[in-house]
Amino acid sequence: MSTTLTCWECEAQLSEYRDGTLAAPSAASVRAHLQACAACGVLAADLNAVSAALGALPQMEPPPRLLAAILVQTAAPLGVPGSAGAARPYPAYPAWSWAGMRAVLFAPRFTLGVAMSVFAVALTINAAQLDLSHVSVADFTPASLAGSVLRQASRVWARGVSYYNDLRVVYEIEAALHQLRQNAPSPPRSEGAPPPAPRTTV
Amino acid sequence: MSIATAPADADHALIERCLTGDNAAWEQVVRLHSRRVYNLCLRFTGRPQDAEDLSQEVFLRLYRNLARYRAESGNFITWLTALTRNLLIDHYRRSRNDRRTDALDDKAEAAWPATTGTGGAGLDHLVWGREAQEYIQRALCRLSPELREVVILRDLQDMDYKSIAAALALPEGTVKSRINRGRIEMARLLRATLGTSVPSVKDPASAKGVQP
Ligand SMILES: [Zn+2]
Repeated sequence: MSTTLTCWECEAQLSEYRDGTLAAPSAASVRAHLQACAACGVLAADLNAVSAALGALPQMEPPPRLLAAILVQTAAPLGVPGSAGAARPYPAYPAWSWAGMRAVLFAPRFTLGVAMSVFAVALTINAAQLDLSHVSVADFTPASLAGSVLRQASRVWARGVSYYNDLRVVYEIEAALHQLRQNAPSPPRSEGAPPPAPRTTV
Repeated sequence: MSIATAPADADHALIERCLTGDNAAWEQVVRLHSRRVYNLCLRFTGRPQDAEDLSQEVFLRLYRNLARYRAESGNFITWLTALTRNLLIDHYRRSRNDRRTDALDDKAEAAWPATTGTGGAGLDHLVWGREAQEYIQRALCRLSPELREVVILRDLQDMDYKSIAAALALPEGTVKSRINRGRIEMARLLRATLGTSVPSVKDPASAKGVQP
């Protein structure tokens, strides 16, 4: 009942054969060809191995800051024109503060994503009522986001994420940033490495 | 991850709540789907930083287009996959120049020594080992975007032909043939990278590894 296939016809059906979507007679034809034709048999084995190997690639866990960044970016209410996720929704600060902080904080490679996770961290700190005088701008370098001084913040990270959903988020972030700014060094000097932690400023 | 994990009705209900301004519902949407989107982006680009940026962009667009999703209805995963895929293709076109540079690197890497024990043994051992995973990711990134996307959706995200066809707005026959070509091309690339010669005739062992 199975028809004889050419190699080309067999090859064209190998994936469907593997995925089990061929009707029984077609599957039988492919099976018969594979038993008879070594070249197609090898190809089929390779194809199966590739498919299995792809399926076995691990699911990677997205970095925690991704969730925070998404939530912060989408924190503005739906339907407010230009608000949701605008790259710089806080235009009111003097140029030296936010723009300057950003210049210090972020190497060119770190763009919106890291900026937004800084917002989230600032907010978390604020939400947890941590003592901001112990937090300096230098602590917001990407490398230290995961640990160091902000360990305490990251412990309440989950709580913070839920918390800021209940707030008028934008204003909350502004408040957190305002406090951060008071702890930040005065006009940044260079775009190089972050300055030493100004722990004595407050 | 199975496509069937999130019941469609639950997704619809969540989206409805998001549209009423329910932030907790939106957070849940992000939590439920960010892993899937991130992994799709990661496997397509092969770069964690790009995957992160693109995932953010996906959810930003999703957020802005929730009302449109409600209007169009349909399966949420399919819709989200289509959105993600469109951004990936945009990104692919934008970063063409970067990629040319990468292609040169890849050529140098093609001369990597074969892993031990691969000589003519077929690709059956591929599933194991971190190193093998890197080969696979690299090979994946060398596929044309048309083949890469369907292979990822089928083999990594476990979507069936029909769902893939819906997400990509392609005829199912096209999806089938692209998946087949993609897997065969992967096998070819991996054999080339691993330095194994395609076993010549014989070797009943390799010919046997076929699923009935
Ligand atoms: Zn044949």
